[in-house]
Amino acid sequence: MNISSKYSLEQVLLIIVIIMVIMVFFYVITPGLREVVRPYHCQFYQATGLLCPACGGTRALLHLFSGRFLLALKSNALAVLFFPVVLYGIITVFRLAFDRSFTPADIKIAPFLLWSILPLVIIFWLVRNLPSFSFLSPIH
Amino acid sequence: MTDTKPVAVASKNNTMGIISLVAGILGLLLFVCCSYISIVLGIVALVCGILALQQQQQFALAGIVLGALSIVLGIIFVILSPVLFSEIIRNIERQFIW
Repeated sequence: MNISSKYSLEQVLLIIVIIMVIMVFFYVITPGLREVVRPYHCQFYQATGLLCPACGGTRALLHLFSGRFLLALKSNALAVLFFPVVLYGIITVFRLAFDRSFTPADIKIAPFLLWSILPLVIIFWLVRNLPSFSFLSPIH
Repeated sequence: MTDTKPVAVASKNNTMGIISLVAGILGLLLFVCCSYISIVLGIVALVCGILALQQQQQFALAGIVLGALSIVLGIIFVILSPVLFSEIIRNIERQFIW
């Protein structure tokens, strides 16, 4: 897809500026938010002592929005990985709602990419609870 | 005798059906730990499943069923979790009294 043919330079710059403003905003307010978001409030973690795939997700997104990419990856690598996927989903929903020429039949994603989500989540769930992969855990 | 020509069959686009099925399976997997995410995934599976069914794609019905199940189980778990985990929640509240 050629982006330059679809969007003007001004539009691309405007999007970049908006993203940067959002990142600065979150960078400034994140320390306060971290105190509000109670750590390890996951019921699954409290009941079993094991991390679920979403544990650390909120912190990961907060770090991601404030530009602390390494901390975001440390908090929840899966949330960072799936953030663009969720973003693509939201954009697609908006396109379906407002662009009449865009129909559900136009959505084409390689099947192996979709199928790979399942093993990815399960493997991440298992692996982040292993002691040798503690770098994937937001606790240690 | 009529002349029959081979017709090139284009590979069918099953994207919506696969999204529906994957979201449904994930919703069922995650309802124990992340009930809210499970409900969202269930809604995604249900909507994509219905769209896939309209386009006669594969996996549509499976996605709808799994999506509905994950919504129901997610809601049940959201409602029941304060009862099931009351002791745990009490412990958490004890930990975070400042």
